[in-house]
Order: sequence, then structure tokens, then C-alpha cells
Amino acid sequence: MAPTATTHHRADLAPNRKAITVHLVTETTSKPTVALHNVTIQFESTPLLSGVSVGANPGEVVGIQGPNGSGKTSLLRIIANIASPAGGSRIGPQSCAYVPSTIDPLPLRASDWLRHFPRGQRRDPRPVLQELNFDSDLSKKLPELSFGNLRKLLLVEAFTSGEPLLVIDELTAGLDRRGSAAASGVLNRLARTGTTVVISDQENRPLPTNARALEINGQSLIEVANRSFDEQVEITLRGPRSKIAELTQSAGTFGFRPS
Amino acid sequence: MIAQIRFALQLYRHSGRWLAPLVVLMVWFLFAIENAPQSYDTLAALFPAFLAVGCWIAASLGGVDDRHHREMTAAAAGSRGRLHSARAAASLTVCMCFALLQSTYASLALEQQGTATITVGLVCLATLFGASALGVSIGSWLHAPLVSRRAVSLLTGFSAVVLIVLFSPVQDALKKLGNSEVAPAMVLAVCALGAAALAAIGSSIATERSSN
Repeated sequence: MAPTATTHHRADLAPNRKAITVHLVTETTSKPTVALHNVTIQFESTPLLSGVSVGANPGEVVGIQGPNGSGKTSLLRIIANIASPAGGSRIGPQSCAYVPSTIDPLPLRASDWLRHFPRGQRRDPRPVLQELNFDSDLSKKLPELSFGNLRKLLLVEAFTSGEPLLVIDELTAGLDRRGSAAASGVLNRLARTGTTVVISDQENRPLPTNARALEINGQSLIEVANRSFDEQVEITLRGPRSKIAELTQSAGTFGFRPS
Repeated sequence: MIAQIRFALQLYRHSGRWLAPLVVLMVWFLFAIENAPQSYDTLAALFPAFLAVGCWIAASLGGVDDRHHREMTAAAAGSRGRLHSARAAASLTVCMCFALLQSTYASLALEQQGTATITVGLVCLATLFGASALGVSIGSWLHAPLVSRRAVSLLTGFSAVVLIVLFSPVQDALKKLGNSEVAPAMVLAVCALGAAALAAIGSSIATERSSN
């Protein structure tokens, strides 16, 4: 993948009933936040993935999907710099925010865990907790939280970490529909501020709308259309025909297909 | 690194795993001052205790969380090797708190004929620092991801500590310390620090390269 970075241009339309914000993305040549070159992943000497080269640019959301045991988590661990590939190399920041699919909860209060988790400059987690509908008490200990609330806490830790790279395994695990949508919204917002996000999920789960979708197919990683975009987003544009044509043409480069 | 050490200490504090080694150290200390009333005698008796407890603390602090939480913390630290080093440093910090307490007691409350209190305190600290560092460096090899079975960790740690204590140059140095000869104990402390540094670097590299 060519090393590219993204810049965002916003075009706001205000139709009769609700405002629509269309984000147009143009590519410029610069350094990706993280890139893997010709990476091979093995599990007990059985190759899972081979010759994988992938990069994620600043402000980009990359979604990796595939069946169980296909190597998604292994790939994410290499991207997060917490595992070494059997072959190939990784270029990227040393530290990042990594969210595993689950953790064995430690006997700490949620607020203490969040406060003491080693980050340089943490943003205020309370608004994001509210946004994700975290409906428990931060003074509770981690083992007392439900799985959904524990997952939300892990996500909020990453979302407020201030790291340039977020790597999230099984984004929607433990989240209901509303929680998943809220998490996708926060990710897209972070991406607009230049944060790079790499997520994995099961093959039939929706990815955030702006995500570049990659699928594990056999031992390789292929770029596919983000299906959730077709299924989940309905946009009605009202305005001058020429303006709409211009917008749909630009959006078409990202897999947007007007009906 | 400091934030990582602080977080490791928080996790360890809440896990309660520090309680057992602390009790062992206190009991050992009480036996030592009962049977060896002079400061340097006590110090010679405490060397094996700090070696064992350093190893115990490093092994238990290193494995304080599960694999997923450790990976999360390693990503924040920058790599698994960095996290490993931070946890070894946190273990050494815990040992040094114990060493400071016991050195203070040994230098102020116990007697050492013909030696200034400050000298006794410094000798105690240096020797216990050497013992702790060596213990911690052994313990840093005995927790996940390098060793995941507690039985293996326990047996290996115990064997390593016994072998070091029975090593004749170590026994000679401790005997001479009991007879108020400080120089061999200082050489022992320096050698222990050197060996500890090499072992700690080795375990950090091994962790970085481990496949788990």
C-alpha cells in the first residue's frame, strides 16, 4: 500500500428536516501512522497469514474482518507492537492504545484503574462514558461491572488516551446496538482529529461508516467494500442538481453508491 | 517509565500478593535479631531473605494480571520488554522499601561495636540492595510470558536461591560480614548488582522475543 495520509474537507448541507455532514477525503502523499511490510503470521508453525502489507494513515479508520481463528487478533497485536511477526516488519509508533476483546478484571475501582492507567495526557473520560451509555458507577470495582460496562470502560480508556494510534480487537463485543453506534461515532470523531484507528470484528458485524474494510481471505488480506455503509446509511440530499452530482461523485470514491 | 512503575505498584497493592512475602520477611527479621544481636550479624542473616523475597515479589508482581490486561499495558508502555523492565523496577522498589525499614532498624536499634551508625546503615542498604536486585532479576524470569506455570516458577526460584546461598564465595562473604569484615560483603553486593543487571536485561529481551 502506498504511504498516504488523509485530509478532510467538510461540506455541510441543511435539508428541510435534518442536517447532513458529508466528509470528503482527499489523499496526499505522506507517512502512514503504522505500516506492515510483507508480514507472516504463524500459529504453532501453521501459517495463518503471509505476505501481508497494510498501512493506516493519520485520520483513517481501518476495519479488519474475518472468521474465527483467521489471525485477526494476531495481526492486531503486531500492529500494536505487542507481538513480533514470524516474518516481515512493522513501522509505526512504539506506544499505542490497545483494547483486547476482554480482560480478567482486577480488584481495583473503575475510577482508580482509569486514573492510574499509564498515559501521558488523558482526556476527560466522563463525557465519553456518558456517550457510550456506561450505566454503572465508577466507584465500583472492576469485577462488579457487567461485561458490557467493562468493555465500555476499556474502550473509553483507549478513546481518551491521547495516543495517535488506537488498536481495538472486536470493537462491538459486549456492546448493544446503541453502544456499537456510539462507539463508531466516537471513533469517526477521533479519526477526524487525525487519530489512526485499526479495529477488528467478526465478518458479519457492521464496521464504522467511514472505515476502510479489509477482509482476511485465506492467507491474505484483501480490501473490500464496507458493507455496513450500504446497509446502514441512508442520506437524502436536497439542493441544486449540480452540487449533488459533485458530492455523490466524490463520495463514490469511498464506496458510496447512490441508488 | 515512572507511570508504568506507579501503575504496577498500584496493581500489586490491590492484589494483596505483597502480604505473604512481607510476613515471611518480618518473621525472618525477628529470628535474625533474636539470634544475631549485632547489626552486621543480622545483615548477614537477612541476605538470603532478601534474595528469596526479591525473587518472590518479582515473580508475583510480573504475573499480577492476565495476558489480555498485560498486553494492554504493554501497548501503553511501548513493548512487552519495556513493560517487563518497568515491573522489575517496581519489584525492586518494593524490596527497597523493606530494605530501608530494616536497615534503619539495624543501624539505629542494634549495636555494632566501633562503627558509626551512618556507616552501618549504608553497608546494610548496599548489601540488601544487592540481594534484592539479584532476587528480582531471578524472579523476572519466572513469570508470564516466560513461565506460565506457578509450580515451575516456585521450584525454579527456590532452587536458584538455594544454589546462590550455598555458593561458597557467598557463604564466605556473609561469614566475614558476621565477623565485622565489610569489604567482602561490598564485593558481593557489587557482583550481585552486576549479575542482576545482566539477568534483568536478558529476561527483558527474552520477553520481547517470546511468542506468547
